[in-house]
Amino acid sequence: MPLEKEAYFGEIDRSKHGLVPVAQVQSYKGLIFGNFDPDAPSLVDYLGDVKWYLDVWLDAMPGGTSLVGETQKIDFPTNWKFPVENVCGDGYHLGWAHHAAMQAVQTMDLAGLRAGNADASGLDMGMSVAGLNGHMVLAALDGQSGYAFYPNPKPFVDYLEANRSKVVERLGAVRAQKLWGSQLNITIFPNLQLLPGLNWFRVYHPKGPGKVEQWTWAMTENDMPNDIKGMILDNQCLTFGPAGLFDNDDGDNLAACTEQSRGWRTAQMDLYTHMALGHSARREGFPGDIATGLVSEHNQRYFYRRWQELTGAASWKDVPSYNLNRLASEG
Amino acid sequence: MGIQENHELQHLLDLRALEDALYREARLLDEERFTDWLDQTAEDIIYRMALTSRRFRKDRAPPLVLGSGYIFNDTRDRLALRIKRLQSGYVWAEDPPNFVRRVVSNVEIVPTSVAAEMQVYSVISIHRSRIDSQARSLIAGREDCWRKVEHRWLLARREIRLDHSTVPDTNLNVFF
Repeated sequence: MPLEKEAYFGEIDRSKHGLVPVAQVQSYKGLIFGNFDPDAPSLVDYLGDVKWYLDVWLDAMPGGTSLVGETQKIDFPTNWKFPVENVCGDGYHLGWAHHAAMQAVQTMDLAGLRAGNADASGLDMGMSVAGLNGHMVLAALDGQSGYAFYPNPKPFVDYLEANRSKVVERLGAVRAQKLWGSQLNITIFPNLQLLPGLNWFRVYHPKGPGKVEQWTWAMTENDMPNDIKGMILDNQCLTFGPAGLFDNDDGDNLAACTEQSRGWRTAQMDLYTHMALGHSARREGFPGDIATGLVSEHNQRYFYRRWQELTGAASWKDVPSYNLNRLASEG
Repeated sequence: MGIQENHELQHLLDLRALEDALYREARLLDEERFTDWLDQTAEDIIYRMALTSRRFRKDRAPPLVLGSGYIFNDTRDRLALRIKRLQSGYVWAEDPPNFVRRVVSNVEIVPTSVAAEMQVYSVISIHRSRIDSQARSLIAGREDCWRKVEHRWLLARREIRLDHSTVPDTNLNVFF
């Protein structure tokens, strides 16, 4: 320490001014989490049954996963909860907010992903999963729709089919056939999202009221051949990078939502999130409280509910823990 | 006029034509005349903006195996795809149209070993005035290759270096 004697007169107690230790550091299948709160639940308990869905991405193939390319950072004026909400459950905005991008790049005509919300057919092709301690999943169930927005989906579909039997062995038939390869939006409460298929990994850093810095990476399975990994990095940037054809639709919507909600009169209103309220249930073979389809506000409700539970609790003891409709094998 | 003078005059005319091409493309883009802008590019254009990160000077980490990735990694077809999206009438972030003005500066034109190609350095500043009082300024350096085809200079390659470690805007619905 320079000039410790001369400038501090030897009176500084260095043992009291070091870096604050991170109270808990734990990892789950390659993802490392740190927590400053020694009383927080363990990572495994915190994640709960969303692990069943996370494994479809982190543990489908034996080699695990990696982030590729540089960090994609973008700064925008929005409340941090809006982008999370947008991805965690909002299938409703796809066909309208991204109408132009979908027309431009969609290569697979998949029911439920129709541009312009033009028709309601196939709305039941996916599911909205919540009731997992604030974690959420939006899932198509066709086993390939994750690659519907690639210029040439064939190499990806070939990769999926060549390896699907291996995934059946590792994860069982339900996850291997219905979820692996499907577009999945996985949200780890509060600010981490993983999207197998579109293949990105994103963390939102709140920077004060109405400000967020969004960090995105492309994510690949390590067992993928290098040419496929390269195509993923390229397509992830094209669709959800800083100049991404899809991402460039969302940012302004979210900024406008934030701006409009600040109005004196608007701020006195409740947010209406009742779409499909009361229309969720247990679904055989899948953990969680599940609403049919990608279009509902089921997940958003659970997201805000968790936020309310946490902000209203004095300590972790007061925070409810729930993993609804557990699978028998999950205990 | 001798051959030497003729050659020098032609070089000056080329410099003038290239500068005009840079200013013209800035105006075409400001006016959202995207198709006219695309017409000023070569069939085999490579239009790129690499993702970068700030690293300590001492950082000797090897380059990433798959490369850094690109914010723009566009061929002519992909530029056309972006233009198709922008012209679809469904890009809500651009409706009403934003005020966009480009300033091109620090132009430096260097001959290459190929007679019909010039290396062109420039700096572009893009001003965007958007929602209410929101204004954004984007700055980038550009290194281009321009090719003369039948008396016209066409943009054949552009490497854009965005000088922001965090993109300070909600979208990059703009060409640099």
